[in-house]
Amino acid sequence: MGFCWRVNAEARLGWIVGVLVAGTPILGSGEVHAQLPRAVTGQVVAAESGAPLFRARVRGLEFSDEAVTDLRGRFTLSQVPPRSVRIVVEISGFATDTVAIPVDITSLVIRLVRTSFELDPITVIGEAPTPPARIRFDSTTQTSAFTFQPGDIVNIPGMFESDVVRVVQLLPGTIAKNDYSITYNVRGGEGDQNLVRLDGITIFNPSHLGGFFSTFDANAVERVDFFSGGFPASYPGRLSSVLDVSLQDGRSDGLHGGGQVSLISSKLVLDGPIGPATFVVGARRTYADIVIAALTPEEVPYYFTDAVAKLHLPFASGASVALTAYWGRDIMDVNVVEASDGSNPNLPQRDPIDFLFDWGNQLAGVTWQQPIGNSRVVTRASITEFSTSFGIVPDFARWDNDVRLVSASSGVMTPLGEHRLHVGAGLERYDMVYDVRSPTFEFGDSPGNYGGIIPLFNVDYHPTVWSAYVDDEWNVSARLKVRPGIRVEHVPGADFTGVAPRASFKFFLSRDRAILGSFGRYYQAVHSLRDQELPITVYEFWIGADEHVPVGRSDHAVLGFEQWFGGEYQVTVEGYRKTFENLVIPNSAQSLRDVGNQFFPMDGDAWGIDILLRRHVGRVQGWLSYGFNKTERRADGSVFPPSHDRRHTVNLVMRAPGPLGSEMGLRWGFGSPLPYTGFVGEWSHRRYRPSVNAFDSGETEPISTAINAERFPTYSRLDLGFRWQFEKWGAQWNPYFQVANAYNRKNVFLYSFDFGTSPARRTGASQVPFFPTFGIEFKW
Amino acid sequence: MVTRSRGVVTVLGVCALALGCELAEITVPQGEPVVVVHAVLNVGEPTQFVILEYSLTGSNRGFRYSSGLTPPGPAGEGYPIEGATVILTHRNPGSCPTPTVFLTEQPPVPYGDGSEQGALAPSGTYVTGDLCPLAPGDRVDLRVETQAGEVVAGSTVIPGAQSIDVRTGLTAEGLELHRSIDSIWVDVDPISARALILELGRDLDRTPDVYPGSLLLGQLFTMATDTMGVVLAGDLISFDDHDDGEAVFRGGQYYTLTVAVADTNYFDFIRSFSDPLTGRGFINHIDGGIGVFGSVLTSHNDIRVIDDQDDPREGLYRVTGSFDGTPVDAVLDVYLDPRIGNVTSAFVDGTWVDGPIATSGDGSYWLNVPGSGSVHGRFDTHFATALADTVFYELVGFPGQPDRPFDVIVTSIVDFIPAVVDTLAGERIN
Repeated sequence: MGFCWRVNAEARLGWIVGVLVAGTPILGSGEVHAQLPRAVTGQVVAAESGAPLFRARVRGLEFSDEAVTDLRGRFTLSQVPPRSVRIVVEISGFATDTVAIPVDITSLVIRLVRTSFELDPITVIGEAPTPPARIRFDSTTQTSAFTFQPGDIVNIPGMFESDVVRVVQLLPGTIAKNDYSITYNVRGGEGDQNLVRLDGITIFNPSHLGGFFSTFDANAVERVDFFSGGFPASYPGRLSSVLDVSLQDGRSDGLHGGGQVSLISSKLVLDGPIGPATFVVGARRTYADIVIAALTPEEVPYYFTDAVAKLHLPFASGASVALTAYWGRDIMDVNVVEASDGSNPNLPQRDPIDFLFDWGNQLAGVTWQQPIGNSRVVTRASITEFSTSFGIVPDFARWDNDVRLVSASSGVMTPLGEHRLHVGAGLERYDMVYDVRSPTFEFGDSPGNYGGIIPLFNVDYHPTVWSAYVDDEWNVSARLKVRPGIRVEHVPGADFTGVAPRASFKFFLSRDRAILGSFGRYYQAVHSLRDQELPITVYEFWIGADEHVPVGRSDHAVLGFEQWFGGEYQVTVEGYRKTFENLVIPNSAQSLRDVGNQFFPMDGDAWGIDILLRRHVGRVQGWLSYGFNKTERRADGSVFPPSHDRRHTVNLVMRAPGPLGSEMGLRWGFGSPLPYTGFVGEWSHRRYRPSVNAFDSGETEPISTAINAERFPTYSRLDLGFRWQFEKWGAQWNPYFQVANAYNRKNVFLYSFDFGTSPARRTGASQVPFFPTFGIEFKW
Repeated sequence: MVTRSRGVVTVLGVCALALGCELAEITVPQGEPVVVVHAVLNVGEPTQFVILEYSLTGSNRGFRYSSGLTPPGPAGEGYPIEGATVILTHRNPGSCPTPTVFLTEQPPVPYGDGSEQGALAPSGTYVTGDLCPLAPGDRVDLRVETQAGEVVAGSTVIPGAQSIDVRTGLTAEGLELHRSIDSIWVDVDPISARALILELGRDLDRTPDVYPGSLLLGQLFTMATDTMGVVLAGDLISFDDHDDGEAVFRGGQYYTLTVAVADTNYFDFIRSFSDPLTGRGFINHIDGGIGVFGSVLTSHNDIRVIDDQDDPREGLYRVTGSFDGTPVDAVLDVYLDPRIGNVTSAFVDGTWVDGPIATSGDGSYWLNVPGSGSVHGRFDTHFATALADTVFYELVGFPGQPDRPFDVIVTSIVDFIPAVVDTLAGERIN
């Protein structure tokens, strides 16, 4: 994405070419039946070439009808109200446009401008394109929703590269516990209550390097939708939020590419046509291990790599099939014992022994969209898996965890007058296996009964979730929209059937001002066994509902107010209340042989207020968010604040013209103190030696306060980024320079205590310090 | 199986710390002392003991005891508790007339730390030899009252087993382990037991302890499992902090495998720990304090370990002659360490200065040592006899051709000071 002014200029061209009325005469002039819908036909073409655009989405803004263009770029809307209306035209790679259709127009040509097309500065005539947030404001009742496009993401400075999830962490209602965590907590919820999807496919643990990177390559992303509460009935089981990441489809006008080289990683993304289809494929890898091994005698035993691909195949009927795949792996391989080939007479031949730790996600899915009359059927099937292996290999011991989800769903959206009816059903089959075993040991449960190598620990969960939903987007009147819905989930293994009513409404006080609200019940059949107090979650340890593990439940209630100023500024204020029931936390006293006692049940609740002020267009864009939150948990007889119970969170995100012709990105965050469990002493945990009937000196371990009874100091951090742009060798280049924690504030990451000195002392470690980085992006 | 690995979080925590900065050190308020109890009743032992100490609080009366075993050393980290009333009550005494016994505080003992040599510390250890006999399923209660008024209590159910069976190999008689092809089979038929504890160390009576106390402290391998049967492979590798993937079992050495069945308290005590980041995770069964009051039943098993002898340096060597006027004639059955090279162990059998011996020695065998005058290198070994821990013998030889005798320089070392040096005849006999 280019500089701020250039982006705006490109986008605005959509309105320069505007609406061109085709030569079709007005039918029955003056005889339009006022109460009957009319049909509008049209064609969507590329502004610069006139080429028809295939599978552009055309939908009514104030009415419920939509269509997808065919191979000639043509579309028909058959349920257009007999009055002046607006339609929205969207297609990957082009600026979204909103077009007004007067009452007497039945045919038109819409010219869209490619978002990456370079243009000279132009005189702007007409309005800027409507921001997605405004379209959402005008057309839906959805509360707590945010939409981002690549341009929003890449301009937010960070540590290494632009990151989708880092953007989410800056939204109101969302809390990141520290700089290292890619996990986020939404309105008092736990990290495992966030549904993260790539093209509709769940990803279990969307991070690399313990949280420095998310699994999403921002260069391959088309759009990001985030719902922090009150999400509709079509979304499957998570209690707190939905992060829906959509990949680009790939462009049809030739091979394009882009990439990035940063201090720690490089990536490349290609997209283009392949026969009648389009594709996008990207890959990324860190290379500190390679560089350091090449330049020094040292070794960095870690790297991650991932790859993503999408194939989009449209059909003349308006149907389309999209295949999405992702594969990623983090690998830490530390050689513990060097190999010897026996050539040294003083060293026997031996195999190497490694400490091997690797983890990663892999997924594949297919989405089939089929228009049937005015309806659109979306059918999806996918398999997604997270696996990790941790061990001393090849022969000593190995710890394996596999989490797999196979799912299928189908939904149909049917416009019926002022209604848009959504009906669907789905099936999710989870398989979660934890297995610890060793070729070196065998264990038997009774004398003489060994039966070969049996696991030291093995537990598995296989919940199946059947679900069905129906909800209705109903334009009750020009001022009132409501969306009632209901979702039913059935988990046979847990003997559970849950009915989850959901509803939202929006009442327009004026064209730019509305009151909105939602309430709903949410169920979650999978949990993560996480320690509440650990500052870092490398990944989630998923378990599933069965006869021992309950299905989690949360009720949301959201009431808010949204105001727009001139199509540029958005102000949203939302208050919320959430309850949590049947959550789980690890039971340290669990018996490895007693499945079902791995956790304590936990309940809780949260309430708060989120405020967002956002400017969507102009040379200076960004948002200022504030969140107030109070969260409480109850477990094992204790009432305590969870480690993400942050009262006040402020985030300022801005992009604006910067010095030396740069585009500047700025992010400043403030957080009030987070809870932690303090230490009040230490004790020597000796170990009894039965061989000599004595205790050895043991290890010093802490004695803690009540859970999360202390608070860290406040947090704040300023990140700055500067991006330049030039063209060379037929490509666009964007070198950038970023500084994380520009004023080098020492935000506390954790404390360590020493009660063996007099007086006792506390020290600790800070989070990310002042950290400059640079790199370059390119695309052609 | 239980390990104390801090796991993934620690690894990445370290990475994060490497990127972050260390915060300034500040003083924090002194904590409240907590009574720490360490007591495991051992069914086979004539006396039972309880160790009491206060936790570290930042007060100036805490001290650190660097290493060693308690008893005989003092209670260490924290401060030993003096003058406490410690009571054990046998709840199933049968005909035993004294179900309740008061433990006696042991007198002050040396710190055992080099920097504190000579000073005495309160022992913090309370003992009794009068506890009624312990049978599987019996319950014993502990009550501690300190001079400061703290009251601490615990209770244990005595574990037991119909049999504790340890075998090596599938059909082998006795406990001789061929480390490359055999395994050690442990079978317990429990009466009342929660867990099985294995602890492997060198045989204290047949191993040279060249670094005083290290043999006693050293463990080659330990594990706890809640199954009652375990098979250990002979080629087990150790990944203790100080090891580098070394073989646990080496040919030419004697070992003692201690098998213990434990109650719930001790199993929970050994399988859990207070997380260094959160302070949580330890499973505590002590009321009013922290620590353990548990019980075990132990069985000690000596194991002789052999291996293939593929390297030309491995095999039998005979050393004969007169040492300090006493005729000696011993055979060294030498094995190379299978994973390190050059490091050797040897069974030493025959007649030595003090009479017949059947022990083992440790040493090395280097090939092509510059200046040695022998293309077959230099070997050395040292072993102890019945006077273990005070007298060692070091043998150094430079073998020539395999079928020719060579000189072996033998040095006796008394209290770690070379005493007598003599030259004996050595020869390879296989």
